[in-house]
Amino acid sequence: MSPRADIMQGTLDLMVLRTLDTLGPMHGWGIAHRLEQMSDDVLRVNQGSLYPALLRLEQRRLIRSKMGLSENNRRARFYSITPAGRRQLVEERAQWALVSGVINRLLASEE
Amino acid sequence: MRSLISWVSRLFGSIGGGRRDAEIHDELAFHLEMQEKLERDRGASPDEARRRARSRFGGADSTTEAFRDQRGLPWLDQLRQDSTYAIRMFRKDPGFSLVALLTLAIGIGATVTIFSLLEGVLLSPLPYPDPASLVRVYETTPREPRFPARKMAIVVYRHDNRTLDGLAAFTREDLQLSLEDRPERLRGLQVSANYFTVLGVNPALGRGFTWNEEREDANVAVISDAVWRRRFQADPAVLGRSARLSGREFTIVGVMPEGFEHIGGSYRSFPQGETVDVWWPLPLEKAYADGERYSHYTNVVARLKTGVTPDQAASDLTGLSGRITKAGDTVWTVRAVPLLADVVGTSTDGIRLLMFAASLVMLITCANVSSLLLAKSAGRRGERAVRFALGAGRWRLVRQSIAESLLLAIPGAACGFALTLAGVRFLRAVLPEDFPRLHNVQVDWTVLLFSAIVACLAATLFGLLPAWHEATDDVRPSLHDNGTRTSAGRRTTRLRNALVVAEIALASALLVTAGLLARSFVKLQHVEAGFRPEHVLTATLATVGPKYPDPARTAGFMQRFVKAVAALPGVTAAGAGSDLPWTGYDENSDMDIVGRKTTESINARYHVATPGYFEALGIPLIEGRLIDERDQDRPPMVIVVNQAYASKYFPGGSPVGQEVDLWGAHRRIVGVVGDVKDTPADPAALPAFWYPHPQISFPSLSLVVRTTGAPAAATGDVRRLLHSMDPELPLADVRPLEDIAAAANGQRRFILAMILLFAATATLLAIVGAYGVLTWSVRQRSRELGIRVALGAARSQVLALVVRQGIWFGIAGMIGGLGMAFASTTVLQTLLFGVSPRDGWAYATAGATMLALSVLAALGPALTATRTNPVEVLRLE
Repeated sequence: MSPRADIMQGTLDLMVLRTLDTLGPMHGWGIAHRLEQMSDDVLRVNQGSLYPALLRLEQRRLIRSKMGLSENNRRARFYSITPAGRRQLVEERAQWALVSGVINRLLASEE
Repeated sequence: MRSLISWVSRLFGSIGGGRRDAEIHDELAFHLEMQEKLERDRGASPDEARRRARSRFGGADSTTEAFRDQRGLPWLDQLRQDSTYAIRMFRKDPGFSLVALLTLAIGIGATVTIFSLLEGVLLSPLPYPDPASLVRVYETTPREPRFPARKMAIVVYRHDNRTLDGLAAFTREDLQLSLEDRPERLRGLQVSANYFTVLGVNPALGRGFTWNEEREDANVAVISDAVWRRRFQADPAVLGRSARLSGREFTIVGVMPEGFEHIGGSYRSFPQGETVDVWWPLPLEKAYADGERYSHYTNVVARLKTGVTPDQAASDLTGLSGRITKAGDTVWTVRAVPLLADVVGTSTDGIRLLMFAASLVMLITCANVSSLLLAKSAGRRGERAVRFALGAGRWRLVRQSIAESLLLAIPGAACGFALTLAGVRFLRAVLPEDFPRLHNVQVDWTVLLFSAIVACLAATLFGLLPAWHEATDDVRPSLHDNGTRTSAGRRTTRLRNALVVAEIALASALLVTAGLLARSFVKLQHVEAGFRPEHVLTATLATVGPKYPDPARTAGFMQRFVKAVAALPGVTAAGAGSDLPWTGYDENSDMDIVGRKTTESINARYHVATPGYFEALGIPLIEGRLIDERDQDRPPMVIVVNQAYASKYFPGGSPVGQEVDLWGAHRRIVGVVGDVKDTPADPAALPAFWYPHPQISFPSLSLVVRTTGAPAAATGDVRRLLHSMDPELPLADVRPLEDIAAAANGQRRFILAMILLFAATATLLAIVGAYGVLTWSVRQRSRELGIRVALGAARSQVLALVVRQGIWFGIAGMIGGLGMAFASTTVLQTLLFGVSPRDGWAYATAGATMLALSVLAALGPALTATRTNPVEVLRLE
């Protein structure tokens, strides 16, 4: 709804794919928790905005989900990355490296 | 491809909405639970843990909303939701819903009803294959734009043209069927052999006519489906059977299919529709007397070759017309008129005007509903602000308002359509009998489709303004106060005021139109008819059959019969003539005035009359004498002329005693009678004269009987008398002359009545709209009014405050409306009579009416305003 969400979207997708790629199937809270740990609480993203992103990724067949039992024996939805998701991840990582490299260089030269 | 997959899975998401909602809920609850547990592990109290988990998560409601947006096809999903919500709103306010629905039904009903007229008469194709390529062909002069053609010219046109796929001729010639003791006059049409082929419709049974049958004037006939069923019990063995028609033995060779429609025409023809009973050959190439070959009295219909325009065909035929004209004579120009245009004629202007008026009513309806929705939306600003704050998108709120519009429009269209069903039945009942293609006016799929389109259009029209208003409305201040007295509330008021002014403007324009038409009609009613239609019975009587082999026998019978009718009790005068006033009779003849050398063509309409004819019609004698018993079939040959003839050809002198050379004899003018115009709206009568019936014989005459009592009461006596004199002769077309006179103004009366109805509806809607807005505005201003009263404003001042606003509405709307009417008067021109389209009276009346009604609309709310109790209002704070 706000422009900020749009900027975050691509990044959030990338982080979700990367997390699932390295850690295997996880439920929503697990992903959110992992993201926060990794970012040392720098990214104060609403955890809620994760779920639309998960659904969007699932609709694009980049991840899939199935019901399973959580560590405290609760029924929960577990997400895992698909082969298409892995391909997408490779692509987006390259893209990210390219863009962030350019931006870093740009910012460095400004100083 | 990927987007398609995601679209499909979202569609499934939409359909299985309920189950997924629960799943989403579970998933989010699980998340919060885990987060809470984590916070507790970090040492927070249970309450604090819950608070932190929630704030970390963000707005659960807006997440669910976004989640839903993503999950299903949001518009499909939310349309369902918006609709449920809208229905709940309508249920909560049944008064609003009822008023809006009723208003819409009226607007849609009026528009769709008039559309069905437009469609049936002007838009739907005539029932022949490729009807657009059919044209009526006329020979023209500047004075007579649509003259029938000469037979000898038709033969040349038919044979030598290069632009037509066929050219056929027809002329009305009724036949008398004598079958089993029940004589019946059949509406007969003499046609060239290729008539059915040119129209593209073949007999359902048997065949049409051959070239030989046309050439030899064979006694063969094709009958209509109706006659076949009525008189021949639908017997397929009717083919080859002989039937006695007007004393000749005819062989029936074909039966036309059910629903075969005659192409119409005003001269020697029948109206368009199933109006012909029998067709028989018209021998075009027979060795006629010169007069017959060169007289213009045969109708022509033709089919254009593919790609040929009517104008191209006309110039092709005009070339042929020049070829057959003797050197020195004027060449007749040929004109080709598309058949549909020829059939609908002048009714086009009236129908267009009605469609225009109905559209204005529709616009007013939309403005009214729009205004109601705006008021409703203003009342819900607080609620909207809350929904907005809770995370509903602005677009979502606008969509809500669109859903409401659609939900009003759909049942509105349904009610409107129901109204149309009644409206079309009403139309068919009140439309004048001679209205072209009346039988084709019906509710069909096109009309149904049109009402759906109108409903969507209406929803867009009346929903757009409230939706736009909500989209741009800043609702934030509404959270601070109760949302009705802020500047945004004033914006709603301004929009509603503008709508009311627009409504009043449109209604005023319609009032002006109604006023102009009403004035025309009144003037038309006061036109000097030239005859007295009250207490007159008319009928058609054809003297045919073996008993009337020659004109003398016919004339003798007619004279005896008319004399006997005049002697009936309750009858003051009786006569017979070639025609009746205002029925479109149009037969003309050239003549010379004896002793006058002139190049001027002396031309006049010819009629035939028996003694008693003028007396029975009430046409006054101006000079000389009327036709009487002295005028028998021997010299002295005489005629009676009308005033128009006298003043045109004998200006300043008297024609009585003068002689004219006419139809091979010198005839003396013995009298001058008063003028009767062709139609009441004509500017003047044309020159005309009457032969005494014995001197020129007509096989079919119009009987005119002036009675002391109700004319219809004499019918039985006249019938019995005729039966006693000749049981084989039927009396046809029995009707009072007053009906004929009324029918002459039938279309104008109909248009006027409909426009009055629309103008009244429009005015009512506009005034109700103004009343609604004023009532609302008084409620909005209750605090201000309360303060005024508290500060000592007199009741009359408060009253004036509101009434002034009503007057302002009236004036602003009136100026707009009169301006619109003034700018668009050319539309009306052809429908007015004796009234300028900028007639001051009509404008003044419309303006005054609107102003008075606006004040009336303001009075109610104004009185409410004077009853404002300052204590109550201020205590509400």
